Amino acid sequence: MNNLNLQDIYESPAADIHESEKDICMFLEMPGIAKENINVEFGQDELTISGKKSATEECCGQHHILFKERGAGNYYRKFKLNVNIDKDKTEADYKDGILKITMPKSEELKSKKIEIK
Amino acid sequence: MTNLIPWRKKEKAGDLANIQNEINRLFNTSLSHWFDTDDLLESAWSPAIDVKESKDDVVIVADIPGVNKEDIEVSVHGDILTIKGEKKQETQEKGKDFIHTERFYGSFSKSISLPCETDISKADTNYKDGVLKIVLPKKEEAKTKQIQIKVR
Repeated sequence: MNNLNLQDIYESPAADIHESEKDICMFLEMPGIAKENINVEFGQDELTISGKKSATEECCGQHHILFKERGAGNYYRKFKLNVNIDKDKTEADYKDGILKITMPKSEELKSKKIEIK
Repeated sequence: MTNLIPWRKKEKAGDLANIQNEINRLFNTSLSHWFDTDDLLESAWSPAIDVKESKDDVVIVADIPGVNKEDIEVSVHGDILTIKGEKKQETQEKGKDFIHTERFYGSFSKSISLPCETDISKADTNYKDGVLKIVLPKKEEAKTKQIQIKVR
């Protein structure tokens, strides 16, 4: 029987999504992950975000746990995209545990005023 | 033939009395033992924390993403450690609508009792990638000393 390792447990990060005329901005709470261990990937019509905590981060061995509320520390979430996003112009930024993804909307999608002749 | 019912000694009644006592105790214990009532009044959310100890120190790790270092306050009063602060929402830019919010914001306060006396002057705190880590070395007197038991 396989043991469930802490490294295999993923949580869904809390996300705030803002939308404006020109882009969609997402803020995900993923504290304690090294930038190189964060993955933001576009699929056909979905966005996958994952973050893996490096095993060496926590003190090991000599500490015994008195109280534990934090999760395993790995994050994974998939979003379905039903808006046309300019994937090439998408930017991601990680600071103080917050992953900020700015997705500009595709040109065609921006509302165009139609002249009424 | 009727079954012989074994006669039980007073233990049985004793068990029930114990349960009754337990329940009484539970009701008599004030709620403040379970909740830090200050928390309930001040904040709607509090960060998740881990507390662990080794023979030399007590380590507290708190997940507080998206907060400025200056907005976090850590204090120790007796054997209670309190982490206080404010998480500010990203300033709403013009024209942006919030279509989905899951994150919690606002002021928070979390107090925990430490397992033993610690030397606050040697405390080391660090805030990186949204994780606040506090290492409190234990006071010399508080460290458990191993007693050798001689086998004769």
